[in-house]
Amino acid sequence: MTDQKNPFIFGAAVGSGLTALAVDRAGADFLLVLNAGRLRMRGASSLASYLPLRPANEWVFEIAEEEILHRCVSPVLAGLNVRDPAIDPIEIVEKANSIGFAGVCNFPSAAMLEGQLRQLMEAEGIGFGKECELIRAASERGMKTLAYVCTNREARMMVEAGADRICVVVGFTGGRTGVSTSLTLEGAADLANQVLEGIPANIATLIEGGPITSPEDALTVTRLSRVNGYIAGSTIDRLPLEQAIEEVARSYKVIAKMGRGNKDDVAQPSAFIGSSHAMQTLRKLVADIAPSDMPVLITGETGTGKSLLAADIHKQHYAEKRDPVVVDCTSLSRDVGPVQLMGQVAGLNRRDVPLTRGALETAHGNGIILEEVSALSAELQGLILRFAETGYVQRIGALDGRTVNVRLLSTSNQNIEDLVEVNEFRRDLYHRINAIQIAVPPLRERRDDIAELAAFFAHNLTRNEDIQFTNAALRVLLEYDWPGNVRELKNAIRRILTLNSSGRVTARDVNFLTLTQIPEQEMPAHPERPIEPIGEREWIAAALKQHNYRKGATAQYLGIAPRTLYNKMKKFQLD
Amino acid sequence: MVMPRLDNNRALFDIRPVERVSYAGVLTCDPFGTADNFLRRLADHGYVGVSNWPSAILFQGHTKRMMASMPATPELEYAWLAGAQRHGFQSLAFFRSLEQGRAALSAGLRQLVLHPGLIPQTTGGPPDLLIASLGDLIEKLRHQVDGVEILLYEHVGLNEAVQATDVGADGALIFKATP
Repeated sequence: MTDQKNPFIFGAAVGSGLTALAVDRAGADFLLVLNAGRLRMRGASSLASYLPLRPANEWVFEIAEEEILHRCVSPVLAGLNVRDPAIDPIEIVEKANSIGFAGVCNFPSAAMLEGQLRQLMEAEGIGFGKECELIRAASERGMKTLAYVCTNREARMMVEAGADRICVVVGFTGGRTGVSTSLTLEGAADLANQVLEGIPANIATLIEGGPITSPEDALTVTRLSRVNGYIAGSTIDRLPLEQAIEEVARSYKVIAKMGRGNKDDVAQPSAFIGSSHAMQTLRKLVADIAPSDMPVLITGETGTGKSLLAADIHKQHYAEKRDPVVVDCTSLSRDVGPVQLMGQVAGLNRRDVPLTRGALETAHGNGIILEEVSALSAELQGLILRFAETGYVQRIGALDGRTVNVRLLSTSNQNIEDLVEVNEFRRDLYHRINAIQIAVPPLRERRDDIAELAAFFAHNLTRNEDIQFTNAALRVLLEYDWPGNVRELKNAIRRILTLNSSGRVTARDVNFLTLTQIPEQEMPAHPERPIEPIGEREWIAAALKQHNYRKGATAQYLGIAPRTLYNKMKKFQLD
Repeated sequence: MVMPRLDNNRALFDIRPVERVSYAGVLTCDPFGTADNFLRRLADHGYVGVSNWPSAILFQGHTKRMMASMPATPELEYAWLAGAQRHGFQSLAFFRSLEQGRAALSAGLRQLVLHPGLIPQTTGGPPDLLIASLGDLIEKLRHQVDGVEILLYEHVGLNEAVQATDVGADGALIFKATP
């Protein structure tokens, strides 16, 4: 469709020499100097162009004279305001021409206003009608003219006034300092077609604003409508600048953290690495509660470091540095689970059964960590409840028991409140183990810590080598969602360092993360089948090289059977 | 409000307040600078009161939604005036509707100025319906809070047929064009 139309026209609405020079070098067909462009560069919305902040025309002339007109090749048009009874359209056009502008446009336009305010402006002769006078004066002066319009009536008025370019405004552009829009690209195209109905084919037609935020969007709208050009305002300065500056600034912060990570944080346990607000809060909470005897429940997704945190609370609580008793609740079976927890008397059921002390009794004077406590069966929940309430432990088969002094630390990757609601976990036990609850945030909610963690793991895995991450590599790490959390990050760093021993990690080394991350809705029909990692050949090749092609050592290092390694070598022609 | 022909807030310092009680009409949604510093300068210059003028109260429809995203809304203007009161300024809050009047009262403002709207000049006698609706609006606001003072904005260019006495206002704030 575009092939049959006039060539695509690209105009840029600017407000500073920097932007103007850049778009001029890029070959823009024309530039518009608008007060909105300057306001965007000052961190305000384009909409502020309507406010009485500066005399718009004087400002545009000043910016253009000082920064743009004598430095750009492209034709430069002045965005002129006529919403002032004192402004004479002919005089202001003459002034623009004398300064060196190639043309003018009506900005900020009354076309974007409505209601009684607009009616009054038109009645007072300072509305869109006066903007048509501006365009007429410029056209008669032989200057280029561009008219901003929002309706078909306005478009026809401007054509009648002599405008040689019509730009349909489909709202202001969104973004951080922009305006939200519900208009789609299709909707914008439909709107443009309605506005331009009956406009002669020799008039260049453009579009600006609304949902169009990229060259692809602009191309889409030109294909869907009769417009054959686009004017970039926020999309040529504010949006790309905001993004670029944020990225560069973040890189500086990341580099600073990398430096700190290499030097200072090595001694910290990995559960505590990170300068994010979330981790600072967590560290303070742990320091506050560690000295007490109250039971603690630590929740969080798998891989977030719940067990490490529990161990650290234990370490801070017990000065004598005894290791805590750790019980993996997922491995407690119905048969032997009670014995593992409570112990049993000698000769129970069989004469050769020895006396066994259970985990709860063993932990006397110490701490016990119940990992994944939500996995406890109903029977075991009952046993733990009695212990949690009284500290009383009675070995299986014994007639009496003893009271022990144990601090209870539990972890869970499930929301136990939900389990309580469906009667899968006892409410009374939940309250017993949950005097204090600590929620460990997933890694994706504390992205600020990723760089520090990566540096920490790299440092440890290489035994104190100085590993450098390029900004591009860090960006990939920062943008990945880390469903497996800190554990996944650690494994990823291990894999990266296995494949790359140069001491410098680049984007290419971490690209496997972007290639293997599959959105939830696109998960394969058989999720139990593992996804073969991209780059497996390189992974294996590097491991072989690292182990001098000794297959046994390589297979052990990779955690696969020697036969599997042999088959993969054959498959990848590594033999 | 939508006429970028001057720097409204800078212009306040180009004139010296001459009346005993001088109010500064402030563009409160100016995205630059800080209110604290600006209010200090106003006080130093001799102003004792502030008002939300030019104002977002006149925006309607799409324009209102668009400007609210900036943000420029009557509610923010009233919050600004309330802040100025805490700095010791008197305030005059322009409003145009019952909703806006209530928002001004909620912000703790008690001196209000009712704008009759950008209505076309009526001919052939007083516009009874408009006068009745403005009078009703004033009564409702008086019932909401004790001690509220409501003036009517009189502007011959808008509608000279509507006067403060017609609508039961406590007084008038009259527009006088400067030469």
